[in-house]
Amino acid sequence: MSVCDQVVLSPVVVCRSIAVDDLAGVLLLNLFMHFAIKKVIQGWGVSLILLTAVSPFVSFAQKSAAVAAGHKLLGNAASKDTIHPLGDTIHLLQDVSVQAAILPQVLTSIDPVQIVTRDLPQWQDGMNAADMIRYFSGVQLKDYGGVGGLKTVNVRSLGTRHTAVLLDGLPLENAQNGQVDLGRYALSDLGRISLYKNQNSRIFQPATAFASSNAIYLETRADPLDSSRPAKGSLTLQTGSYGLTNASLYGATKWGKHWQLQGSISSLMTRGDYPYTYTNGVYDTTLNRSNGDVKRFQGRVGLYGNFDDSSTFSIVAYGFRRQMGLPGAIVSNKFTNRERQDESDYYLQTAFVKPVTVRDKLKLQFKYNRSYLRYSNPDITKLYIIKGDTIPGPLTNHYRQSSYFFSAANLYKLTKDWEVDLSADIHYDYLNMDLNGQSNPSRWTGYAALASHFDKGRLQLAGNLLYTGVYDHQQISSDWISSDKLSPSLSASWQPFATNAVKIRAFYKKSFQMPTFNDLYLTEYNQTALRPENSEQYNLGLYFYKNWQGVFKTLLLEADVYYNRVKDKIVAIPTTSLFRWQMTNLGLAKIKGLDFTAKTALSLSAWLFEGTLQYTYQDAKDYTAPGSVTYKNILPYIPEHSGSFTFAAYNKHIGFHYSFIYDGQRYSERFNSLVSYVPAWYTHDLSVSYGWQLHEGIKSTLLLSLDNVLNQHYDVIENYPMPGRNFKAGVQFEF
Amino acid sequence: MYKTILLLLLVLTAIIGCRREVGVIPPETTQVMPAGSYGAGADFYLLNEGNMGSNHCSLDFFDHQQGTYALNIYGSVNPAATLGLGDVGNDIQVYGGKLYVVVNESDKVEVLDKYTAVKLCQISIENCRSLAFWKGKVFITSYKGFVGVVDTLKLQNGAGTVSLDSKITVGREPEGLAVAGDRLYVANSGGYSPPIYDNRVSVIDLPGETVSRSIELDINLGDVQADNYGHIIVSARGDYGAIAPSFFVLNAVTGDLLKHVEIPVGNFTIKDSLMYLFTSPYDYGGGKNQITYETYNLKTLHPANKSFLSDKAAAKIKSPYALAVDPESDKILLSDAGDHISPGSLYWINKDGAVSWQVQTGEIPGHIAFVQ
Repeated sequence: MSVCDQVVLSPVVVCRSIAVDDLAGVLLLNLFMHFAIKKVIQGWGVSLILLTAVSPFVSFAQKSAAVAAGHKLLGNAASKDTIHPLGDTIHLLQDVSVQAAILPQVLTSIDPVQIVTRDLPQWQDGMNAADMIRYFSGVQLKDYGGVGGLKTVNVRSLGTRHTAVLLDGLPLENAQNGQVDLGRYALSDLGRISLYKNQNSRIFQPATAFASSNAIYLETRADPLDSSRPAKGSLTLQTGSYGLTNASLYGATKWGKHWQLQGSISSLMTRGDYPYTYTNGVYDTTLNRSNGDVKRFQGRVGLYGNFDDSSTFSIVAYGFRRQMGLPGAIVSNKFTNRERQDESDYYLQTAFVKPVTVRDKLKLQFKYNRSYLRYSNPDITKLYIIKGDTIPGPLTNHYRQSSYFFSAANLYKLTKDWEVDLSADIHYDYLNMDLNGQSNPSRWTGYAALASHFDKGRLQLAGNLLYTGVYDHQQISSDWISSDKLSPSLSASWQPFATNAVKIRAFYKKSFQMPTFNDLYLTEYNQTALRPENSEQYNLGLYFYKNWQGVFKTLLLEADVYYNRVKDKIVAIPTTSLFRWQMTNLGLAKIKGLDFTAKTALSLSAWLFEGTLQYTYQDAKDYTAPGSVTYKNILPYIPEHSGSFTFAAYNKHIGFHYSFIYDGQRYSERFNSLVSYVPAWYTHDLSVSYGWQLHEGIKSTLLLSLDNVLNQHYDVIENYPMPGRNFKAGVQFEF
Repeated sequence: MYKTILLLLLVLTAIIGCRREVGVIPPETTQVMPAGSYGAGADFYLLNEGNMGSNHCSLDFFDHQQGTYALNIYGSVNPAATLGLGDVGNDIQVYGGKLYVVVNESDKVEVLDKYTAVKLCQISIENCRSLAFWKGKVFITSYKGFVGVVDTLKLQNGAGTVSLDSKITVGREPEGLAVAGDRLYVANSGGYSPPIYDNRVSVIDLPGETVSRSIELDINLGDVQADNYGHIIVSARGDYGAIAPSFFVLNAVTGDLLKHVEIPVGNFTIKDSLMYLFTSPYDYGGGKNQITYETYNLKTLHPANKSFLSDKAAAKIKSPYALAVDPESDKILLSDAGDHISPGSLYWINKDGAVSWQVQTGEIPGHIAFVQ
């Protein structure tokens, strides 16, 4: 039986078979590598107990190897595929055909997962990662409007900080607000976005990835190259409403026998002066959004090596620069805001994966990240002490953050069905803020995880135990505060019937999130005393997948019910400026919900039709203080009902796509009332594409899209209006 | 299969078909006490500041004869006012026949009718904080470092947006101000540049509209109020750490410092010879969080040693904010801003220090103006 392990950072997925080896030797090797982290050994002891507990389940699984192998790879992999007319598929498994709509990871994953890849028609229409993530179920996207507006994601109402965002397997160090601004990551640079609720299916990863309740994996675009196509490139030019211009260039080339070079650069500019309307039935005012201009540049170059012993090495350098205005909240009599934000972000990351023995694989990763953000508000004049003189100037804050990250992960195959991973990470973050009289905080965070994945035909079990140690230099008292905790997680999935079309899955996870630098140190006026957030998740799901020959190709149905409990939830409520948030420990929140996804694909003569329906129900309530006015009120910005529907039709040349997103009514504050009521919104988006072979080896595609077709004026976040109807037109060349 | 998809689509359309807009929000009226049981007293407006950026500044009205408290009246009284009252109300006062509401983050002062709260016009002024009146003129402090002046005769119904007649430059980030005789005392906080706070009171000669002198007191000056005994009381808010709040008593005529009283005052109000105050939990890092409710005798310039709130009542209050005394009775009004995000509460305190009535308010109940 082979195990297909997706090697992150390598454009080629390798299927390997690993035979038995000396257990003790490998154990010693593991211990030697991680000797510096004492608590790991303690965790190791606890997890040995965990592993022994899991082993009795081995006897429960009974399945023929053939069916198991078939399931393992793709579901019913025997059927023929339909060739995808647009774009390329990444992460192709060797010798296995790929079904058009459903990716293998979705089928084999224990935990609920949703994946979108570049070849989806709506990918070309999007500007950044948030544009794709909003189609996932269980997700609330907070969007502050326009192209540049802050976009953060909250999965299953746990809060944005509980969703890790990983870029090429490495966690993105939290941006200024402790939340990753998904608006920064251009889709032109990405190849795939996955959302895992719990992450037990991908255990060969840094320990940090296990620290969050959910994880979004952004994977950079990495087109597969082979001898017939040793070099590839693409150029995309796009323009649109409100002065949008977008250009991106991507290239990949083989370099010698073992190496590949990949690079991309992109630039985006927009004026962002879209009109918006506010009315209460009596007054009706239409204005243009001002100070919403954005200039964004990013570039990446990566070198990937694939060697004869199946080891891989990669090194990637990335730079990002963005200058934008912060348009601010629209309030009575004040419709403009002059705050500006200028940020840059650079990182260097390397990864090395080596199969040490036939059973054992080692992954070492290192990342250095440096980010700089300058916020300025010309409407506020402040006194600055420069070289002993007191000089008045516009309020300007500089934030410089440098982070170092090192991770070592070791995947060991105990038996052919059972893999164990031991990962250990160290982060060091340092924040330099130039606020008068404040010293600079720094933090060491160590994560150690022991993860186990057991897969025997119809039954899959996985679990992990994570140890987190945080040493924080607290600027108020100059004492080092430390905290350490253990976070367990368990998942299981079981196919009750021989046809393996139906799967039942469940998971449990306990995790915590430390307050970030911004939570603790950002405010100048007072130091907020925040506690870490603790979350517990329980999920039970049903999954049905079938594919057929003939017109009706595939049907995927997923339904998960869940119960989440968050203690000491830190709630951020935006203030006039996007840059300043009010932070408070909410206390206790209880969330019950249902995520439902249905995906179908049909093929009719040369056309392929795909439809996805996604619906989320959430009952997220504040249980903090019985008797208080906010007790049992719905949490801010959590709609009870939300969902989306997308439909795509395409053949070799033409593609047509329609999507509909709905977000139910919600409340902008902890106290639910007519005053904090934010109406539901829904938008319809349409896009059309036409592709043709321009020349020998050059394929070009014309793309036209119209978003918010019915021109609905709405706010996702109260007082931050969203654009009405807007269009985009673009052309893409691939060679 | 097509049928299932169609069914799902129908369900979808059914769910999303309606998008309920709120429209004009009606006031919520509570019968806080039986009609007539309040006794002698005055009606008042309570201004809820609202969370910054939320545009939830709201106005409540208490009718003392009916015993009713109407929450959030502005929208229904002025439905045509674009985007409502605004964001972060900072002061409210009655003068002449008009009610003046300072809305800080909306850069305006709303001028309403005193009895009906119908909007007459508005004054355009950036980053406005507090106001005071003198001989038909209104003076408004702006955090931009000046006091704006407007002749109230211009503020008639239909005047639209009125701009300032003149600006008087004072110190940095002025907050409270008060008139005594022909002088205007303005407290400068310097609040944008901690720890480099401002510590001066600017004294403005009113007929000439010029700053005649600057009096240095202590850092982060906040509120200024005048009493009937020739005093000007100025509160200093400290640096929220080592330097504690306190207040200063000045001679209203000469501006000389009479007394520096080291009671860490949070907010205060004056009625006749008594200054009612509560202390501030000013040190967020340390432990000085005990709030006391005291009185200070302005005739003798000594603490009156009389708490106006019983311990039992004080235990209920999480974060005292607004403080006012009914000019026509002895009832004390004290608001609790709670967590400063959710709605707060307003308490009526009787002369025994016990809570007579209470009602839920809007977000951050900050300022009270009596209708007289």
